[in-house]
Amino acid sequence: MAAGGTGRRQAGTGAARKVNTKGRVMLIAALLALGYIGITARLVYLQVIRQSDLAAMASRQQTEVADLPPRRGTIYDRNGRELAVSMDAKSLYGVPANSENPGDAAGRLAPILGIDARELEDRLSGGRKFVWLARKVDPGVPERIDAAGLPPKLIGWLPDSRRYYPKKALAAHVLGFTGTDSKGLEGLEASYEVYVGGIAGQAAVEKDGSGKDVLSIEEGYVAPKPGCDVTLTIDEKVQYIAEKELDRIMAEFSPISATAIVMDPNTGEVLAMANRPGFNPNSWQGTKADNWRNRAVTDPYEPGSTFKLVTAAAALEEGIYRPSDTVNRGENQIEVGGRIIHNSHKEENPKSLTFSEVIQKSDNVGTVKIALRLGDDRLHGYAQAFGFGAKTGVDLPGENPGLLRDVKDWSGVSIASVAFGQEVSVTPLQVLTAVNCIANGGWYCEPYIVSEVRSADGTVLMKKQPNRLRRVVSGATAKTMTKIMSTVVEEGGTALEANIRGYQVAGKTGTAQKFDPAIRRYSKEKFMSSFVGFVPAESPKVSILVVVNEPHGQHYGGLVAAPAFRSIALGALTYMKVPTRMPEQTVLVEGQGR
Amino acid sequence: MLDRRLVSNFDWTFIAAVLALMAAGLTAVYSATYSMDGGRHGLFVRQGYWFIAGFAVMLGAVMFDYRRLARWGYVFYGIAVVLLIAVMAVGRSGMGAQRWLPLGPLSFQPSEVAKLALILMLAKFFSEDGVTNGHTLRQLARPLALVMVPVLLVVKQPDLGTGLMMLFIFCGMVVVAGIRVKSFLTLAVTGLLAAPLAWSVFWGHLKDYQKKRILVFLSPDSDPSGAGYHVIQSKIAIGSGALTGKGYLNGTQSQLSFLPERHTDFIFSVVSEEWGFVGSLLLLLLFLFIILWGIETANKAKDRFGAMVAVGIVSMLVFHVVINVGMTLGIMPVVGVPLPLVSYGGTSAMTTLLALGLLFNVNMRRFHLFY
Repeated sequence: MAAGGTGRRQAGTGAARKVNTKGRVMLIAALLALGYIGITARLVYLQVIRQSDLAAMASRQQTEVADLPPRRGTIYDRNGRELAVSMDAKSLYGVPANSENPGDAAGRLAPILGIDARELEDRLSGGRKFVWLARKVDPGVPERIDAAGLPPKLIGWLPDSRRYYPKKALAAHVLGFTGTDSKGLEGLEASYEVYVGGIAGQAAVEKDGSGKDVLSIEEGYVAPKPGCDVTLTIDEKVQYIAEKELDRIMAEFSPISATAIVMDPNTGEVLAMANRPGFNPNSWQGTKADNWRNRAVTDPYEPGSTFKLVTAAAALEEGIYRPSDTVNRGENQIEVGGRIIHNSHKEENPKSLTFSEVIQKSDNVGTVKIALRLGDDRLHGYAQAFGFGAKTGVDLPGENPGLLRDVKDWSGVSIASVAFGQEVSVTPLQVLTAVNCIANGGWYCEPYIVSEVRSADGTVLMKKQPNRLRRVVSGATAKTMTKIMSTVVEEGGTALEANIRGYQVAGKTGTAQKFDPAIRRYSKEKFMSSFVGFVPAESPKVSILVVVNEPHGQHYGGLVAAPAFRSIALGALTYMKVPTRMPEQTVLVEGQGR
Repeated sequence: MLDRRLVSNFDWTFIAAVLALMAAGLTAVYSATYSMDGGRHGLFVRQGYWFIAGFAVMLGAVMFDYRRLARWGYVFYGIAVVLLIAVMAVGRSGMGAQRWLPLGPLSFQPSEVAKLALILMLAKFFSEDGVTNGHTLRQLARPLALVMVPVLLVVKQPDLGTGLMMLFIFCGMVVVAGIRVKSFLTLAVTGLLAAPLAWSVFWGHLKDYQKKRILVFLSPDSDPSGAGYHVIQSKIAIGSGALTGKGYLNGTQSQLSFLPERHTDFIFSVVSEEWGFVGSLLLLLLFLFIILWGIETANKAKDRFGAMVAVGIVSMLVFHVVINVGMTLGIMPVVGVPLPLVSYGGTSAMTTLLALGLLFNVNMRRFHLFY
């Protein structure tokens, strides 16, 4: 490419000067020729030699494939009652490639479908071969559209299904709901999407004999695979009892929210999980997203006195105290790490309290003294063993692990705060799971809510068995704790309201001041009132937690949550036909029932 | 101002070729943007206005004697550099690069105009440096330094394509201005030796998308849905166009939006899909005619400045056409160079028409006139 240029022509005259560039310009021409030869050769290669396979690639790309919606599986309660079902519906699709006058067609479809005509026209314009026009239309609509006299092969119907929740708002937070594309958006519908959802089928759009584009049911057709059926541990009747009780709490105390969970403490099965405010999943579109949250697993709170159970169980297990040991010798306050801790209600003439009485009366000073003898590490270790600070692993979406800080992050006062349920945050499900450890003789049972997944042809794909993950406390400690918790609902305890005639209840109240970020202190008006317990104490059939967020009028857990616990427990025990302690009372209860 | 005798030198075939190319370009833009903004053809109409304005500019560029531009060579160059710096400071960003200067409702791409300013500056330099027996390396140091200023400014935007284009124009003009065989060989050998080093520095400064493009050029199927997508879709579009094409507005790849950037850098694919091998060749022949006409002009120019201006413009056209078309065909890396007068883009159209006007100017005044 180098061009000397001096050898051949001597520059001198104007004319010679003019031509001196000439030869070298030809170098540019040569480059141009090279480029053009390359381009032309490549054009020949692509457009002549490889023409057919590139054209095939093009048409493969342009083949439109319609997704055939699968039918979602049914969700049953533990007794086979339907909680979420799929009902046949039809979905309307359009073939824009076949449309000659999209404006006219859109004008006719719009009033029947209730969709904006402009939007329909947009969808029916352009060269595509498959577009959804309306998913899951209402009954009667197909007939009216078929009668509207639209051009043939412009529209067509595909079988689809519509999700329906026959029990309406019942267990809505557990079930969740689906969107228009039939995909689960919340709750189990979302977390079990891969099972319940099924697999979409496919139909390719191809030209028929008349040159129109139609869905082919021959080549490339894949039938949609229906979703699996899911059976829950939830019992519809118990769920109903819990929800009705929450409605009563909402009416009586107008709190921000309320949660109730009923479990079988021996297996970890969730029998009922209810939250207020609620919503109807059949018409979730009109409701606030805030109401969809399953607060039983998503919303952590500072538990307050219910957490004293952890402190007490730890001290017993470690052999630091016996139930009859005197703990509080009549003190009304105690200083820990520079902070004075009071009892919530000051006694005029405080009496000495035994270990057992500290829990029965929910004595803060006594609990702190117990904790101080346990020490940071042991208290933290037991809290962890009871499952706090970690997700329970329940098969529900959006679970919050709560917060249990590492001991190295504790301040001098932390041990006292944690001992009675401050500086820790927990979810309702964590609290009930922890109490189950006491109820069932010391085992941490993994909580679960889906017991079985069965494919559409009846094959069992998953069957969940109760899972005792670890021993938290010994059977003896659990038994002692149960005895102490039994005194809570008896004369001298904080929750007489939870007492049920004929059944021995074991439980614990919680009245936690809420931390008010505005004043950066614990509020004197805002409380988390709760009651957790199990019944019958000696061989528990159900464990129940009721949490009420900022009740009005009353705020003691023993007055707000304990009555609800009693109603739910009594309802569940009666429904489950659990015999009463005294035979004559069984007759009495049954007599009342009739 | 425009002498009668000059009008008699008008080469009407060139004007006809330019008009034909403009028509082809508008037709292609109409098709490429057909399904874009809901059938309002906004981009097409806009390109039409740019063409009308550009054609007026082209005629304006014919009216005066091009030799008067020589005096302003460095001034144009200075203005271009200032504009490029302005873009860095206040420019408008689009598609990951800061290339546009807002100009009322329009925006303007100084890097396009800078190419032309560079040509005028270099033409003045080489026509006056008096070197007739081939430049030595030392003699080329100054023009190279001058060229590197806008090149680096443009690459920084980042607009690798235009930066490369400026370097190619410079190389084209140096070859014609003359370079000693020894200098050339030294340059080539040191270039080859320094390449790995320069490459590692250069590679480090490339944006991720630029690196990707180069990797994809080397192996397009390595990333078919990502960076290689452009080239693969372009090849499918061109190949499926076959001998005679799918017919105007019937290019399925283009109309169904499989082809990205189809109204700008990849417009040749649209033409090729819809008009086939025959149409592609016709478009290439139109460019070939204009370029050969430019080479003829360079050869016949009455002075060295005119010749060098013509050479610069010819280089610009050659590299644009070969690199753009080569890129759509998958034989050149995707560097984002428009196809002159066919790709959508106002400043590019204006610059090309202005350049063609200057070319025409040089051609028209190739005979010595004595007043």
